Amino acid sequence: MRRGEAAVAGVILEHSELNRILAHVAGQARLWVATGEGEEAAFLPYRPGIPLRRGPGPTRRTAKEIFFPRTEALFTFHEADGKPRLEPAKVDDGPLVVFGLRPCDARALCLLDPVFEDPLWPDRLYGGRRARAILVGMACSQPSRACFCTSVGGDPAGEEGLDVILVALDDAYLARATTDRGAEWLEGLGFSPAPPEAEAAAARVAETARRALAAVPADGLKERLDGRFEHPVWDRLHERCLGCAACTYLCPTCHCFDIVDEGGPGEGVRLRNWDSCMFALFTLHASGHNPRMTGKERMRQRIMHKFNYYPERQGRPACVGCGRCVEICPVNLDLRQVIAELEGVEA
Amino acid sequence: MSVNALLRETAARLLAEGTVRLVVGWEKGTLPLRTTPLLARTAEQADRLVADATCDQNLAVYLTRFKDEKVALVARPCEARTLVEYCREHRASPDRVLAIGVPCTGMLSRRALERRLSGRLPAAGRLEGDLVICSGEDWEERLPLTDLLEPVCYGCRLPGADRYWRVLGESRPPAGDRYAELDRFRQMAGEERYAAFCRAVERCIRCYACRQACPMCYCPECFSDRSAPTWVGSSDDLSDTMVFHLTRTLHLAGRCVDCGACVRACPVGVDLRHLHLRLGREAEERFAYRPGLDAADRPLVATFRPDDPEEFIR
Repeated sequence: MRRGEAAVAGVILEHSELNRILAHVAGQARLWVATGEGEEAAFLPYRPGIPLRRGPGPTRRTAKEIFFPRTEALFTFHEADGKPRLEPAKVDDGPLVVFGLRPCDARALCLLDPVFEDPLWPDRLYGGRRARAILVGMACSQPSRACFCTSVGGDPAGEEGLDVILVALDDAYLARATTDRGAEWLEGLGFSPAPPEAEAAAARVAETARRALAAVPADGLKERLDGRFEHPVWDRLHERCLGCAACTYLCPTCHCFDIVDEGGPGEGVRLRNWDSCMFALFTLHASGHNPRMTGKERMRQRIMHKFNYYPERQGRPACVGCGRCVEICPVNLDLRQVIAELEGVEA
Repeated sequence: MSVNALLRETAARLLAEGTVRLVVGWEKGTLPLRTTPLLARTAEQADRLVADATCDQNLAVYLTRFKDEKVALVARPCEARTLVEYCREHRASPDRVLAIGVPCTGMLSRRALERRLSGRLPAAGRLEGDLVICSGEDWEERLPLTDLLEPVCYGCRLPGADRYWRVLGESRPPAGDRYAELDRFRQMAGEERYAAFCRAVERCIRCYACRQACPMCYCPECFSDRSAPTWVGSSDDLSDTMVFHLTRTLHLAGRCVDCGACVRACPVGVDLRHLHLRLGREAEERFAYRPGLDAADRPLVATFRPDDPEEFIR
């Protein structure tokens, strides 16, 4: 269990204190912070003076990259005395802190966990990073115009997956631990308890954010998609799609990958690279046959995986409503609109 | 009659009369100041067509998907230049594609707007004459469109009117030197240029939005997707990512119509237009070849002319 039992009282963290605290944390753990604005907003390793992100909504690039990087060596291999030797990649399970992720990104990691931490086939590299990671989130006080987290079970001040949640007040942050691990971490930093009015102010921030969010008709989508694999709705939905992977690579829950070997005679490395169901190459067989011949089958796969297959296995959609795919699609093919169109689908 | 009204009427008639089966154009998008491609098959759908400065995809990219249908393409100079190359490369024929010329005075740059708004994302926006009006919950900005145009629009080259089936209005792109960006880049020292190139390529996540948005990247199988043999690795290795971008650049030498669709499609802000410009300038200066403009019947790399200005061969 990651979550603690007892609710912990909040503490007050002055804006001016933040850099000192982060420098302190960076001395004890590998620290990633949300930095940059607009299309440059991403998680980067902390360095003194790094500008912390302020902008609305989530970062352009996701926190999944910290745990499931775009490229990762699984093992190296070489020949020694005429025999093949394997050297597994070293598991990085040192202390790790991620600072400034939005509740949607933390929730997305909880959706990746059952995939990579399946009891039968646990992924030791992903699991290693997750094992000791402390996620310090920043509640969304100003959602982006494309955000729809509350329509898919999230919340701008959601705590799922976070160990500590910060809420930006006028002149300080209210920090609250949401797990025992978070409480321990926060205690080590030594802050003053928050006055009751800070809690009330934080509740108002969350409520304002909730009100700013548009509703998307995602309720019951799983059931509507059951048995709709051959429905004519798919014939047109994909037409504008260019077939790039911007939506899936910047999606915090998309997790498909490809395994390739790179190297030369006598040695090499096996890599796991991100892959995308939107690519024709994704399902191309060695024979030349491709079971997903056109954009129609590929778009259907993306939507069905998020809103039907994943919910079938895990009980909720593989979408946290962060709105990134909406914002970055080169042709403005809007997932919210796709969901709305699927709402009208009859048997 | 406004351009949009003319466009809708023209498209509706073409569809109703059965002259074309499909009109490829734009309609209002779901985000402020955005449009999305519209593939209209009925007169009713054609009534949603728009053509203004917020249209920022190159629509010609869709033509290769409808090779056997008679299609009308809503075309600005970007699309018209692409169509010239498509005809030359046998991707389309003028008797199958009717280009409906719509006037263009330059595209609104989403990046320029974002910079100008210092991170504020408009919740609403519209064009009013030469003004971009956008607003959030407690703010409104009225900005001149001419300050917020795409870099590719400056010095845009207009194909001749005979490139269109019909022209609904005159394009007046902003004046400027289209090689200005290239000159800025070339003034940097070698290491500085290389460092800038590395910084751009490091950002790339290999989502191939640039390739997919590019109308001239229509290969059924891209070299970067080949796995037997593997021409370029698919990892985040910097040199592999460089090989992808540089090879794409070379494959577009003398073919790139400088529409900038690749730069606008990139979700993480990689801008390598100067590489394409550089090779475009080579094609122009060395071989007097201007992609998308001249009606030469063969592509640059398939052409030899005794009078090529080939002073680089000694």
